[in-house]
Amino acid sequence: MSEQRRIYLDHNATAPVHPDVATALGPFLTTRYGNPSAPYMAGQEAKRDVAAARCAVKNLIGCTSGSLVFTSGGTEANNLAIKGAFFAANGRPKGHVVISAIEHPCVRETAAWLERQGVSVTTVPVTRQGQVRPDSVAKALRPETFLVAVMHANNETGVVQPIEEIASLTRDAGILFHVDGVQAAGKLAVDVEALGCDSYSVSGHKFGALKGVGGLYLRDPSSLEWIQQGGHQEGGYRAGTENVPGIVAMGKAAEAALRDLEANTAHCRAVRDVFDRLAANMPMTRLNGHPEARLPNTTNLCCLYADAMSICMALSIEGVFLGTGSACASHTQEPSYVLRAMGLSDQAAYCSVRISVGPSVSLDDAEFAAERITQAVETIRLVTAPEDIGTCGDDCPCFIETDTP
Amino acid sequence: MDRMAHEFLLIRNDPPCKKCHQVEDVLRETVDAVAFDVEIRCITTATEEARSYGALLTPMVLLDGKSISAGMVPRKGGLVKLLEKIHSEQADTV
Repeated sequence: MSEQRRIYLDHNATAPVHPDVATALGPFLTTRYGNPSAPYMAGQEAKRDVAAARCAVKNLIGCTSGSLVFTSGGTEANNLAIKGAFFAANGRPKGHVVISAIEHPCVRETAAWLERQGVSVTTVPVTRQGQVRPDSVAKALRPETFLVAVMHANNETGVVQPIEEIASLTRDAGILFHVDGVQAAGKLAVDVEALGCDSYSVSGHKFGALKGVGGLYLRDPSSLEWIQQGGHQEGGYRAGTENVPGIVAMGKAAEAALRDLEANTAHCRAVRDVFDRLAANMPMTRLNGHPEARLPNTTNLCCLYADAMSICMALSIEGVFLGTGSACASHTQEPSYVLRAMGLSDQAAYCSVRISVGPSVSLDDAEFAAERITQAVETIRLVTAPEDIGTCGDDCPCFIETDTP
Repeated sequence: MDRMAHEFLLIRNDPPCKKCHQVEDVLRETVDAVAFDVEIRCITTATEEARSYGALLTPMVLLDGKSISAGMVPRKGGLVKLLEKIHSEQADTV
């Protein structure tokens, strides 16, 4: 049987490992195994490798004077930024935090954890196009607010948020401002100093590094209380032996992303536009999100009366992989809270798919995939009872569990 | 398979859930409603064949190797229309 053509359209979930990363990693899986804390030559080599990678990641996000602490990924970086700010505020139970309604679960659920510690949390809404309004943030601020957290670009819609405007509010009020930059780093030209945030999280595998490595930029590391003890690594800010292969991978991916940013942006935008055009060309289909203030690689489409999981499964068999916004939690399907926050009905949210491209997706791939999406949506609409979308029977296992810890 | 014959493949749980039973019933009614041969084959999620289709959500229905429904009970009327459309397109090319 001939090898099936595969078209990967879920780069916001994870990106393929960049060829430069794969090449650079060879020695780190064989002969270059030193611990950066060790005093002998092998250790010092590893220490230099980590330093070079740190420099590359700082360059990617425009950090010239702050610190960048390596973590296990974006989730840990966001947890550190939020919990670290909480502990630095002496764990004051009457504190207050502001987040947006479209934050990633690692921010939302960390904020929920803060609530259980006695902190008040205000969730500010977004517009129908998925943007946080700075005046909503301004209205939410209180004298006891110690942290505002708003993402740079949304993972589902790609909508870019008005970070500089929000930063000017928090700066004036003396409040820490954390930005989850996981989706933006490597896809947009990022300058954390111009943005004016106090902390900014990044994730390596979103731009071609390995999974399991990320970083947290800090304008002033002393603004946080560090929550992981047991080692002096990362200047004492994040204890634990450094993930040297992961960090080296992140550095190489950052170099490539910065070097190719202009070309990749132009290419991704052209490829993405093929999918944007589906909103005009397919009946009962519309774009979710902002038409302009959006990552150059992301299209979120609502294909009314065609449920996203059926589209995803139909395309998967054809070798086309795209994302859905819904998640399954113990026998119930939940519509995307991001799309719900933008005013979509449950049914419209269940019928929305996310297409996120990368440099390796060609225009020909996009045309092929767009045709397959059109056919799949037409078929699914024909056989689907609209009232069944998003429903799940009491005795229906629905999702097949393939792994449990 | 005969070029003009069609096949519904139902990927279901073991034991089948209520929805899997409902889908099987709808597929049988659909097959009875058309004037050409359509086979129904049921397999469980534990099979290698089900895994080869990347089945994640059940019940999953494939028609001639293409997934047309996942996690829901498809409508008989729509299935009949789809079958007739595919059958006539195939007849045109023979």
